[in-house]
Amino acid sequence: METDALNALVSGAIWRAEQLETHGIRPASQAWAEVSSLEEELAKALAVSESEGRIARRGAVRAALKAGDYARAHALADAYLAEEAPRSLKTALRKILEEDAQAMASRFRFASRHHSLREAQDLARRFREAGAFGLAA
Amino acid sequence: METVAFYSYKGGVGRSLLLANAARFLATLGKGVVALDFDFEAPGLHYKLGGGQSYVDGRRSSNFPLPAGGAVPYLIATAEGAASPPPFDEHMMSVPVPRDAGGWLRLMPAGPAPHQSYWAAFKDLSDRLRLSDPSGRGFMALLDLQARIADELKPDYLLIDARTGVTELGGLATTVLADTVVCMFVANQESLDGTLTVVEALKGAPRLANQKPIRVVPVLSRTAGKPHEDERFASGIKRLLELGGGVKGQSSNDLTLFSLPHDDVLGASERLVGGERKASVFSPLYQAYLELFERLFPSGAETARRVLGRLTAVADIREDLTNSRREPYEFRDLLPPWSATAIEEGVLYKAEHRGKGSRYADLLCRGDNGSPLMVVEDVWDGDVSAALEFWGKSTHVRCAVLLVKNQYGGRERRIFTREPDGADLHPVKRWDLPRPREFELLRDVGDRSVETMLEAVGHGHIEAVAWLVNEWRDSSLTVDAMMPHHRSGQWRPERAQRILDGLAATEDLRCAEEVLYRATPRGYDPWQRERRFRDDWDFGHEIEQTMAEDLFAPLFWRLPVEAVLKSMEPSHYPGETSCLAGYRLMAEGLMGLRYDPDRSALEDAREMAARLPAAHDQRDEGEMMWLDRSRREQIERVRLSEEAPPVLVWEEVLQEEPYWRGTLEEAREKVGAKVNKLMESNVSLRRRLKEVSGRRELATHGLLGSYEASGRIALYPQVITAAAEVLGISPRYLKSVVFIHIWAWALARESYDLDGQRGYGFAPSPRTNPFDRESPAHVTLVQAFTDRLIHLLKDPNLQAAFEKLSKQQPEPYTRWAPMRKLPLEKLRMLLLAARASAPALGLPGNDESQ
Repeated sequence: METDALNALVSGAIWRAEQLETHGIRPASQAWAEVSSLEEELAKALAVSESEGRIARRGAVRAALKAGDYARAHALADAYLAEEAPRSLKTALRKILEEDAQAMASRFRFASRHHSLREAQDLARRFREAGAFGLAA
Repeated sequence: METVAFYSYKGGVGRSLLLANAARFLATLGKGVVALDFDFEAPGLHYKLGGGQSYVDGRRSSNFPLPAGGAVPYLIATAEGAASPPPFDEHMMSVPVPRDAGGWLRLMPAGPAPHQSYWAAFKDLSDRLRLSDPSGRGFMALLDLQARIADELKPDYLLIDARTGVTELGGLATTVLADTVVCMFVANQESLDGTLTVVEALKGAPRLANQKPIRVVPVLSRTAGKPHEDERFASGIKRLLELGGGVKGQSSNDLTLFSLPHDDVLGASERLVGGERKASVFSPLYQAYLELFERLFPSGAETARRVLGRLTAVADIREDLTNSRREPYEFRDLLPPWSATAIEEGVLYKAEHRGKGSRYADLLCRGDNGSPLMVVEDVWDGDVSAALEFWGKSTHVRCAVLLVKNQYGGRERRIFTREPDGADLHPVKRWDLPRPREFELLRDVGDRSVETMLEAVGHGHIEAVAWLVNEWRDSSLTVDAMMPHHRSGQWRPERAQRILDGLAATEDLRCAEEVLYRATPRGYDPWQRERRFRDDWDFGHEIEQTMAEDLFAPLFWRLPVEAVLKSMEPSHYPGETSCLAGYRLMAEGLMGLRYDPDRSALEDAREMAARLPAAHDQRDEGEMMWLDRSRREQIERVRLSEEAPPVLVWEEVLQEEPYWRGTLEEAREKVGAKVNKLMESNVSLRRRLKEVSGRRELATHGLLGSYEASGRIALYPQVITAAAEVLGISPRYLKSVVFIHIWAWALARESYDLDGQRGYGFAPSPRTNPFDRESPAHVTLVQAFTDRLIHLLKDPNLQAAFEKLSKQQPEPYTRWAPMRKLPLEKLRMLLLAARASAPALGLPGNDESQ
């Protein structure tokens, strides 16, 4: 697909997701997931050396986080960080992830005083893998 | 904050009830507690904690208003990213706890279950919480709730009711949130296997960075038997003990599981007893709760121990106070216990007069009229003098029982008493708790001195008799000289004598009868003997013999004759002739003879059988019948006769006809009406006896009593009373003197000497005319032995009565005085001669060659 078409689709998807979010309509996460997919496609089409390519990469990660798809966001970020990208992109990607973590921390500010997000994520992973009490492992 | 999750693999093990009790217990210890209902599929912790109001229609009374929210709505709101944390007040409520406890308890129910809105919210919980989301937000939501409780409410404990089985939230509440997991199970294979699996998982679950290693406490619930000893469960329980831990036994290797016994009442009522101070809530289940709490909550262990100790001690006292066991040989067991309604528990007693303030009494015992008589307070290591100050100065209670910490860390009872109008409570040396009747019996229930108890007997309080007899026993019984270290109680002969003299002075016939009953050696059964004396006394008959000789026998002769006769009635001693001890004191102790009415009866029976042609077995039967008859006769042989005595009959008949000749029966027939008239008028009778006394003809035999030809003994109480008035002595003692004299006669006749002969010389024979008299020598001897017995009894009243009577008696009755100088052996020789058996007279017997 042409990058122009993809750009148009991304713009539309972002607008749609923002509208859904603004109006408090619940499945905004799906819209953000769509944005993330489109951004990912765009990133594939654009080289990291291009500024639009870097924007697409940042957008894909940010939209995945907005979609609540933490795993995907991290997978994308890891992939982009592995590229021979300019330092500014890497810094930006890390900042996006940090901001998300901070947002989570501020949302769960009491828990954050006692536990790190990483621990919660490890627990979630283990829970996903082994179920309640870890009995399914 | 310590988080304790209560988990069970299977439901119905009393998990929520245990949690509710633990929460209340901790709150009453002054701890801050939050209880969290995470049993989302079947929530109900609010019911257990006393919020009985239904979310559905508001029925049933509630101790506290239920919130609109709860854990489910709260977690959803948090997980979905609420801008600010939902207010706790909308999701929690305060549960009332005793005000003075200083602690608090808040409950976060699961939600408005079982209202439909709850189930609707719960349906979406999983989707919204997204525990498996790698972002960790579901876990963060859970951890956030826990952390917020810790940071904002700052409780000492967070107690979580975790879902039964293997569920997401059940797993997280235990593996992630909890510091300690109480795993409850019941004694069946299914429950044990599931619990074991979960406990192993818990022990292997990863911990968060700032968490301590998880502590798992397996608790066996609803036990009835001893599942530890059941082979089917042995290996599982052993493994649980390895993983979790249990109660340490006497040795460090001896571990058993925490067990909660099955309790129908507490379990069925789901009553919240944790933290209760009233002993009536005490039950094996509550005790087990407290023992578990003691180990589960180390910070409150000391208090839990104290509460447990307090409740145990107060419950023991309550049990002791209301115990209705009747062991009719101990003084206190003769007295009825306190009725349950007379005892109030956990009373805040307000000062009645002079004093100020109020004080907590664990037990308050009231008398029949409702007046407070006794309090029990667990002071432990508190200020005893402050307690005494209050109970002594600000109340009218007559007894305060304080439970005080002793040097060994246990509790000891200290009893303080006073008289009804006494000033201060003073310590007393008694351990057993006063019973309600004692407050009527004694002015000061702490004063159970011999004198006080004798005074109570003097007032007709029959219960004091048993105490005095027991005290006599303790003061006078010692074992033989071969084993001086074996001694029961303290040997205090003076005290024993005081008791004996006091009991002998009993006027009240009911009490006197009781004295004889209690002093009856046979009344002390072997079990009781063993319990009281243990192995200090190897042979029961030693006690029986000592009691018979040193207590019963003297009392038999010294107590009012009416009581003595009453005590012989077979209703008291079926098949027994307890009076034998009394007779033997005279016959064996003084006369040197052997009195054995059973043997006499058997010999008579054999003599009779020899004359009758009968089969051998019939002879045996006949002997037994004869024996029974003899015993009956023995009991019935003494009577208090209202008839006129022979001497008065003879006197009347001779007044009418100086040369009259005939038998006593004929004389009675002739002057019966006249004599009866004389007997009916006390004044006339007294006048007549005054005349008789003036002539010094106040004969014991024939006038005051008689030993009849049939062998029966009669006393004439009307004549004795009139004579006593004439002599200025108490009729009671005169009656006893006559009783002794007539029995001396009977015993001289009926006892056996060493040759197996009875005293034929003392055989009564019917008078054939008014001038027939008893042999002066025989009268003198009988009177001499009467004097010896009275002297032996050391009863000044009897002695005075005997001497005063003697002064007004015919000459043979007065010769006892010079005979006192004779040695007893000489007197016995004279008696043998008077009994006139051939060997006694020194005559050769027919069977000498044999």
